[in-house]
Amino acid sequence: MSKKRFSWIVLMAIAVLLAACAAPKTMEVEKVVEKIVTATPKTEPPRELVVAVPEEPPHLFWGDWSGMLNAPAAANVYETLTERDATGNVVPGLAVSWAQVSDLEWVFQLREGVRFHDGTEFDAEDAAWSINYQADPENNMLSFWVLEGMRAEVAALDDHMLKVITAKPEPILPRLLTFIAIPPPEWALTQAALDGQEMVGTGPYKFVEWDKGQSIILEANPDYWGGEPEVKRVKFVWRPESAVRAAMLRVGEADIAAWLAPQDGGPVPTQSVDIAETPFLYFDPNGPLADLRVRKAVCYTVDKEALSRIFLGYASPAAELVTSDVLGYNPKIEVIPQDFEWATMLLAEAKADGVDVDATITLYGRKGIYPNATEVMEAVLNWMRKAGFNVELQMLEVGAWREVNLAIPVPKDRVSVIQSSHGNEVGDASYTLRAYYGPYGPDTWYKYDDMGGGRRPVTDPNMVDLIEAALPLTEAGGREAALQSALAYHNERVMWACPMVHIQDLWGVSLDVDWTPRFDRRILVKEVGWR
Amino acid sequence: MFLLARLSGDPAALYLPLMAPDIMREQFRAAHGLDKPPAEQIAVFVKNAFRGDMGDSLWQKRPALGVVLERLPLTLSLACGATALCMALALLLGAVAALRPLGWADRLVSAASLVGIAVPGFWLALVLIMAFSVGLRWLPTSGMGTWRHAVLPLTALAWGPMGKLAQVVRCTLIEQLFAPYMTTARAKGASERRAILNHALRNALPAIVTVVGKIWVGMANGAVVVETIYGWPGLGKLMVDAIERRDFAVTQAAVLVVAVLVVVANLGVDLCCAMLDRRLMSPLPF
Repeated sequence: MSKKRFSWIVLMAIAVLLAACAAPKTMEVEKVVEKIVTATPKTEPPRELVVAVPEEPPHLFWGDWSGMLNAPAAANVYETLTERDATGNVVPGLAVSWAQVSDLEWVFQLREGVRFHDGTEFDAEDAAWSINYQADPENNMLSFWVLEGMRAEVAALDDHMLKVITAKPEPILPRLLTFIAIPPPEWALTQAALDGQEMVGTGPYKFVEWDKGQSIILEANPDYWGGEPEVKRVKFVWRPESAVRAAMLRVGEADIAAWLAPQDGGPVPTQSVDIAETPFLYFDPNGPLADLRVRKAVCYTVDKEALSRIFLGYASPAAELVTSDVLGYNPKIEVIPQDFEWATMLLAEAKADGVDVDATITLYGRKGIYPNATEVMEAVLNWMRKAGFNVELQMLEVGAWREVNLAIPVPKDRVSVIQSSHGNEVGDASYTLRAYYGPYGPDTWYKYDDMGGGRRPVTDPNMVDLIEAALPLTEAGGREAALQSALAYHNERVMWACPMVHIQDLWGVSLDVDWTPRFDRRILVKEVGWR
Repeated sequence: MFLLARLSGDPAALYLPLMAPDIMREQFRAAHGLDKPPAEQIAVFVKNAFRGDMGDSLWQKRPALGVVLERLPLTLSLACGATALCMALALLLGAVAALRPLGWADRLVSAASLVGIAVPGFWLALVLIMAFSVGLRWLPTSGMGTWRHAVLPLTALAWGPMGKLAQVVRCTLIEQLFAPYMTTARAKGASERRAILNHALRNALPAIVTVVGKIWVGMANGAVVVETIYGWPGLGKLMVDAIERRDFAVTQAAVLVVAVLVVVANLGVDLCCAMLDRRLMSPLPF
């Protein structure tokens, strides 16, 4: 036997001997540890809810919290005077009740005993400050534009009573206030708050930590006025790939996987929910598209049923830009079917009247505006060509698309149909009518009234009259019927927009989680429970 | 870069609501210095950059340099790890292939290299998740925290360049193995292992190190696909997001930081080559 091999054998023998000697001691220690562990009641930390969303929020600023990227975490910390329930109805938030005392005056009774997460007490002065600050155009707050340029004077009548005086009748003021967060004023103007790096509110969850690039952690607020939530801790993580979010749910790394692509829904437990999102086509007022018959002909080429299939069934044909949970939705409006014969006839009629129906029309699409957006526009392109339109497609990135969509006024030589999508989260059809169907043009209600300007020519004064008539009406005063009339008139005589489908959101929800997704895409963790 | 970023369009169109009026857009441009002529904007940028001030991120509302430096260690760790993995595997596979040119091992390595080069990164990344996270449950799907989180991103990132590097190792080594000095070494009694490790490999290393440097620079530039899929918040995704969001300050800061990295990496490669081949350090003959 060589020396080397002999040394190895001796070493191994010593190792085995040492291990044998050490074993009883280790076992003894283990027994003691086991005794201690079994004697002490187990205090497992509360289970953390992990929510996988596509993107990290850019900031958590209280004045711009309600966007799709910011809201997942922020909606659990900031609160508003009014809230919406799962079906879109306005319900009490920090205000317990409210009343419109005249056309311009509202009074809100606020909740008592509410504290901000920094310990200060919430009162009417805080609410007045917040609304006044956000409604002041000088402060350039994005929430000002959510308020649709509402001018208001807000004052505290006492500690828990608030008076709001609007410059013009705002029957949907309680709905608009669902977007206006109320932070503590002392904190709201600190650098950390303005930079959107932390959050302080009155909500069911307190902000704990934002690990940049990784996660945001919230913890249940034990002093929440609505009672401490069942989920004690929640972590938001971001994974841009839908397939990865679905995989996280499959292996138990996430409890909720937000906004899955239709094709990723198969192997995981999912819930689909109707949302207030309606993809549509939007027309420039130039060339042949200035003619109602040509706009209608475009809409008659689109097969809304086929588009629903492009969304793998997570969509339904749309007849109007608002969904059924929006006040003013008109169930009597019928979906415009695909009818090439009718479209060709409309075009022939327009041509006979001298309309240049052979002019080149550009379809401007936006990549990723909704799932399978490119496929939708390719289908539209083919259908329009089949009907005899001279049409070309350009798919744009978001920035370029917004520039096309924002061109005010629309260049006179541009003849285009723009891919867009509308979400009426306010829950009132006036929001849609002002934005898209009026003479004021797309997304230009800020130019309404005293702000001057306007993108589209007034083509139909009756449409304007119908909108104007509906705006000041209350629900009790016939608002719904007036809004329905305006929507019906649009499809019949105006047709600036061609609604295509109402889409659904697809959520991956673990079987351990008791939660139903909401129509407004919010993830309110206070509504989540464990099974 | 400065001008190219600005050619992408007006940030006001992205950052303000669709319904924001012209006056608000003008205020936005003025507040961020975008209303000034490009020459003046460049002058301001250069002046501030010397003080370490690259401006504020429009998207994240905080200093752009801070945003970039926050992501830098994550990208560097991924780049260094993947480069090391790539180099180790490529040296092993390339050497095995080079020892028996056109043998079965060589053909196998060449086929594997080609597959590595040809397979799209996003597909490989998703397949790795499906296989090792969902199927075998060995590794987490994504995220950061433990060494286990790094395995899949490193593998996905190293796979493609590994194929390329293995081919470089193979070719360079074959060239060296048949060089006249190898015959001399063997004739002087050097063992085959010594001849390969001390002579052939050493002479092949400068070429290999140059390619490794290039691979590292590519990875340090950011691995957008891997970062996106595995939720690894590095520089690559940041740069793409910044360009898409017209966040000029972040784009400029990121490009500047990456440029510094490239210069440092090239210097490192040159120094390494000089250490490996002393002839490079000798004075020029003219």
